[in-house]
Amino acid sequence: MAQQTSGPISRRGWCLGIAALAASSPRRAEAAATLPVPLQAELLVKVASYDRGLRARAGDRVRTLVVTRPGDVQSERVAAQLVACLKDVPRIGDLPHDEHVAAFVNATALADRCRAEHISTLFFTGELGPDNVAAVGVALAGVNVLSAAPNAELVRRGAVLGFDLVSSKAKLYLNLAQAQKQGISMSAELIKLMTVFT
Amino acid sequence: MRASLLSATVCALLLTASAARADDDLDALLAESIVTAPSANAESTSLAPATTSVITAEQIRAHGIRTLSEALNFLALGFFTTNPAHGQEIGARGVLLSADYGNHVLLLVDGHTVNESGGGAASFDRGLGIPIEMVDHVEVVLGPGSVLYGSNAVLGVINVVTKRAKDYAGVRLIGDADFFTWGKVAIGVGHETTFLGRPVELTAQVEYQRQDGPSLTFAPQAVPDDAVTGLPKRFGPGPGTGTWGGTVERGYYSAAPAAYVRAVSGNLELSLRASAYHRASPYLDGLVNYSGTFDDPSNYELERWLFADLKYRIPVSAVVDVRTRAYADFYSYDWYDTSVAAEDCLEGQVDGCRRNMRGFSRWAGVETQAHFDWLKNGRLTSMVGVDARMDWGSAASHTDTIGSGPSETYGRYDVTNPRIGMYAQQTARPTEWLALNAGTRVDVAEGYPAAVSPRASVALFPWRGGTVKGIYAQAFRAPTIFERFYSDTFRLPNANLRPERVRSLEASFEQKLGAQRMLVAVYSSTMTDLLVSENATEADVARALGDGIRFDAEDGLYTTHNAGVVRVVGYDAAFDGSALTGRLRYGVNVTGAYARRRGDGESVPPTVAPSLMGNARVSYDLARGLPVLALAAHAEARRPADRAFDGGFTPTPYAPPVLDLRAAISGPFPGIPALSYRLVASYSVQRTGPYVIGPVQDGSSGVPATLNPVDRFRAGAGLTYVFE
Repeated sequence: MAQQTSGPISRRGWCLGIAALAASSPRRAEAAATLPVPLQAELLVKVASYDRGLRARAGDRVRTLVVTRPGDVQSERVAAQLVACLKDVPRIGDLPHDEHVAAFVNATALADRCRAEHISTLFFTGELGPDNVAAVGVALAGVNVLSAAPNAELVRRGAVLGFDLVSSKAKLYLNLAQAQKQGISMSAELIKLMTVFT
Repeated sequence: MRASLLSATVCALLLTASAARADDDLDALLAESIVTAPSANAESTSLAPATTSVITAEQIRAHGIRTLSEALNFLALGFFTTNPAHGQEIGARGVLLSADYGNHVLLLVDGHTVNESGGGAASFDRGLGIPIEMVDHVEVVLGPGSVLYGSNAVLGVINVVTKRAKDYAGVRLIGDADFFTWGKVAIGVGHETTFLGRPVELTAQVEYQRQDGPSLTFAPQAVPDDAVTGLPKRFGPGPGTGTWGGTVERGYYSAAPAAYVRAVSGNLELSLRASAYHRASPYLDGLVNYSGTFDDPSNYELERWLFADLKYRIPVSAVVDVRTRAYADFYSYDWYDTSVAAEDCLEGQVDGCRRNMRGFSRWAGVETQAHFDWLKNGRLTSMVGVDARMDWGSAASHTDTIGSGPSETYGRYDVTNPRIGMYAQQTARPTEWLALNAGTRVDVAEGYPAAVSPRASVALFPWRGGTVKGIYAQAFRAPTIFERFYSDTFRLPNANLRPERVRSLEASFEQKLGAQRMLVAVYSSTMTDLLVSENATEADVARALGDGIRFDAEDGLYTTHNAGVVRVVGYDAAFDGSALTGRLRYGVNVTGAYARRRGDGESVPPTVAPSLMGNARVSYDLARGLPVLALAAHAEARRPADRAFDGGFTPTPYAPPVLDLRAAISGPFPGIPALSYRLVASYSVQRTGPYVIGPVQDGSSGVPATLNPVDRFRAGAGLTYVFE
């Protein structure tokens, strides 16, 4: 999907985008099987500080859109929790920020909204399903967004960043190819801490 | 120029320090363990209202751990286990109540209580019945935990959490063996698929373990002539020699088949477990095998377990979440013992007897919890829950004669016991530096007084990575159906027992710096109304006669009373961390305790429990297809043997200090990525353990106590092939 600028990275309006395909996945029935939402929010904020292009992409503020699966109560619940946790954070990447919630329509519409509203953070809650995740990955190519998921499998399928709970500890995952498509550059110090899918 | 250079240097240092702090923060977040057992909600160990440590699957694999008891000894903080050769005993923080069959520690598997309802027993060794390869992590929670779980959580709670399919993907064939006494074969599967359009994941494993030997030799123990026949006592076929001892070649074995299945679909989760634990002890002791033929494989214990647990989670709104589960369990226990000595048998069974004690317990219930996250950010939460269940327990002892003579059945009971637990918990985090947790549970059951188990915790976070915590908690252990109703020729029932109770106060300080963590905790606990075996009083005898209880003995009768008190103060200290991007991992745990058990007018240390113990571990991942090297050690100070204070031995028997060493090498097999291997070697410095063995269980003959031998050296290997 082409952007208004020629390259994958825009200097204004495209900020760190984080799409988290989160804890309302039907596979994550037990609280023990998912990262607590406050920890997910904390990790996202921490990772933002390692995003080399954050300041250039965000402009004057980090704009976060939390995307829910339509009609999914768990998805809406996690979205509300994520928004509440992020609102407790004074600044993200040393920038002011705001958060909104919207229901997922399709990958193309999401990418269009991202460009039109200068969304800097995409936060998916709810399991989109493997086809939708791949479609999201395709639609976001060239869109300067960091898409994230609390599920390593969804990172493998098309999200850029993910975290999951393995043996009681949070682990970070990175889809390097998708990161390049979406113009995301992470510091080497962070990548050393991650499991990287190439 | 110099000013510019200085400015640049200062800026670089500040940026480095800033980056270092950011790195430390992220390292700390990734090193933080997330646990659910302490408050039934996922939270970091820093926030948890209990001193909690976590054993990971990576540690289990790297250190060649085969059982939960090994994991606790080598890797956990505060807990320890010992092996009397018929199932592990478990204690914590300087206290172990020998012969309790683990009923002072609550054991959970994926949140399901494993302690059986008849006697509260739980198995922490091969009898656990959960394949060790399926274990994702073990949450080890020290201190009273009845506030959410009810009975048995006196010394602590251990929650074994199994892997999800994504962490156990494929079909795996497993073979493992110690040369040449133990072997295991297993098939495991982890699979994610869809069913009727919904994602479904399945994790399962079936396994069989068998142990034979080692062959052990016991020095002869002379005993008085058979009190019935007047002849030298017999411990085997042929004329009696009045001597117990020799080489055990057939009578020390165990077999443990097990299967565990966990299926998850959406908000529904089903867990199923089936296992058996068949074991024979090589010696007589004061715990279970107080008499019997020597080196006889037909003298054994057999436990069977089944459980089913169905959980369903209902996210009602952004604030409210409801979780409900239904469960059902079945447990059976058989003890078989043959004696060819007339004095060990009933009147008229001159040629000997074959004894069997058989018990069954079944329990089923429904538990529902409602969780409220009022501000939707985890800062103000409430939980209420109710757990209603029905217990069924039955048992009987049967003594068959060998040759001619009568057969008798004693102590039969068949009891139903309904019980209900209601609990509530409130958490609050009004500021970044303060977290509060308070809760209580009320347990009501037929036949004994209600138990109230409150808990309150305050956690302060005064600076980056620092946590200061204070916790007060109470817990209880309900008198079991077995303790209340079982009787035999010498033992009287006592249906009027009260729950055992414990009150505990502890304070801790934890400091995290990046991936490094240090913890120091101090604690004080008082356990009262402990159930102990004592001589039956006239009132006990009168009550038994009035209840129509049959017993043959005219003296030497005993029963269970609420009479024991244990007081303990102590400390825990832990340091763990990692370096070299996690390839080097290390940890040290130490627990010291001053414990005294009071009873019969004396104050003595609890037997079998060490006043100082700990463990240390280090592992290094060579990476790039090379193996992981790991070393671990477990140590305990000298401790009193089980019959130290009631056996009248001179000298008083004490077990020597413990030093168990473990080395392991594990990794992918060169050239075959789907195949992995593990080489393990264990060595114990001590030659004996803390249990007095043989027929000489008291010092009246002037013979010193003989302590159980320790299997000192084992080496083994395991292979796992994964089809993905």
